[in-house]
This record gives sequence, C-alpha cells and structure tokens, in this order.
Amino acid sequence: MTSAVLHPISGLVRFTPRAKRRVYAYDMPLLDLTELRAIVIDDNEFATTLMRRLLGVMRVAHVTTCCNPLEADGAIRQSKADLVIVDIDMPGRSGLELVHDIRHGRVGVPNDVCILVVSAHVDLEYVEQARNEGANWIVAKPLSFRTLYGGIARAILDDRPFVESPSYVGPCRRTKDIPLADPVSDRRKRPASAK
Amino acid sequence: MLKRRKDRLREITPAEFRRMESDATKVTADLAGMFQGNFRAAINAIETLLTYPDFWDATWRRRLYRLSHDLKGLGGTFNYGLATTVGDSLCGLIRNDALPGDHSLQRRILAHVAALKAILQFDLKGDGGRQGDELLATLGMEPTKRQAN
Repeated sequence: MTSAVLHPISGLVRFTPRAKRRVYAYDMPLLDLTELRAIVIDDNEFATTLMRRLLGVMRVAHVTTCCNPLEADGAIRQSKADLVIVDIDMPGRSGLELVHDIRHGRVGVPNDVCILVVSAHVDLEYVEQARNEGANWIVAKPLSFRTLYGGIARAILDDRPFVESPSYVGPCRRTKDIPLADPVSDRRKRPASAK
Repeated sequence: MLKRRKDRLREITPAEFRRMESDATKVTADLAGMFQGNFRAAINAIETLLTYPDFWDATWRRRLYRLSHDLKGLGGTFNYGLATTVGDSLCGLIRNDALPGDHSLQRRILAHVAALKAILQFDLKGDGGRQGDELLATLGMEPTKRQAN
C-alpha cells in the first residue's frame, strides 16, 4: 500500500509505502525538548562542547558531558539521563561496549534508556554493530543542528518493541513490515498438479 | 521507550524550530575559532607522532588514527568539508593492514598530513574550490563534484 507524500522542501510528490512505525516516518515532528535530560559521552572535549552548545540551543534542560568512557557508568547514573549520546571510538572502552553494558543492565540505569550513537564511523560494519548492541539510532559526523536534532527525535520517538533475549537486548531490529512466510497459504496457491 | 517523558513531549512550531536553527548557526560560528585551535593542535600532535614513525606499532597507529578521525568528524560541522574528505582518506590509509610494510602508503600518509596542514594554513573552507581540487589531485583523489550553475 502506498501514499503520496509532498516533500516539504522540494515540493515534489513522492509515493512512499504507508509508514507503519513512527520512527521511520517520512516527516519528523518538531519536538520541544525542554523536559529531556541528556548525557554526552565523547573522549574529544571539543566535540562534547559542541554538542552541549547545540543541545542548549535545542533547549534540552539538563545536559551532562563525560570525556572519560571509563567513568561513564557513574556519570550516566548521576545524570538520570533519558537520552545517552555516545561516540563509538574512544580510548579504553568503545561506545559500543558502553551501549552493550547499558542494555545488559550493567550500568545501573533502566536498560531501555534511549541511546543515540554519534560517530564518524559510519561504515556498514559499525552501523550493524551499533544496531546489534541495541542503539536506537545512529547519526554520522560531521554534525549539524538538523542531523543532531533529527537523530534525537528519532531516538526518543522510537516506539519499536523492546526485546530482551539472551542474545540481544534493545529495540526490535525488524525494520520492514514483511509478513512472515505462511506455508499453509503458499500450499493453497500452488496448482493442483504440483501437489 | 522513554515512556516516562514521551507523554509530556509537545510539538513546537516551525517558526520556533527555525529560530533554534538560526541560534545554532551562531553557536557554530562562535566555536569556529576554537575549532581552528583544535585543528592546529591535532595537526601538531600528528606531526609529533610522525617525527618518530612506528608503523608496526598498533598503539602508535591507533593514536594516529584517532587524531585523524577527530579531524574528519569535526571538519564538516565548521565548513571545512575538504578537511573531512582528506581526513576520511587518511583514516582509510591508516586502517590499511598493509601499512607497516608498504612505503608508498606511508608516503601517502605524509602527503595527507601536509594537505591537512595546507587546508589550515590557507583556510580552505568548504570544498576548497579550485585549490581544493588541486590538493585532492596531488593526493590522487577525485575532485569534488559540484552542481553546475
């Protein structure tokens, strides 16, 4: 099933599949983030300054920063953050390890906290790893106000079911609304000669 | 996910969003000077590392990679897209497993660092225009594709 969507900038009409989940919806709601508490974990002090300032512009009420990934657990606990923004490449402990620890309840905060990975590592391999560790969304550096805002909105509006299994903890990784194969109905469709 | 806050999130008007966006432009402009200082410090740190190169040492390579990676990540935000392009290519060279034994790769790394230095020295913003293309050509990279006017 498709629907016509008018692009807000180009004015072109696009025919897109009807969005089933808001996280993949075509247009992004503009959110008031004043209620949000966020923590930024990045070993590069300048990057944390930039993100803190951008989050300030977005009127995020409480922003905590942490430049030492080894001290991130305590910082996250103290900040009572709703949103954890984390870099991937950090000395001593990678952002992906941190995401894994949060999702597996080793940090002492609710394991369903929103996690936004912000990194210049956007190779398929890293994106897959971040997704498999349970990140809600991944934003590629270089950052701009729009990309960061869009990433935050996507992460906090992510309404995918939260999965907790021995091998994976995080938002459901199924992104396509493809019905499961139904062998019964397949059999019915087959011609009688093939049965 | 975020059920505690989600019900309390309200939407803002496009005008409010545009105001925030314009504030963000000012913030980025404010931090541009700081970025240049950061850029300079990163180049100096890379040069210090290259004074005694040890391409066989994984820790040494990792430090070099991290510095290049930071430049790549921040360049574009402050309109130094060319630095991001060169930084990205530099990261690729450092990640190459053949680097310790391949002198041509090592020479290319030195050329990339010189290019980054030139970008800072001549303040080549954006894609650097014609100078940017020439710089990329010296590194054996494709010039930036631009839209025809």
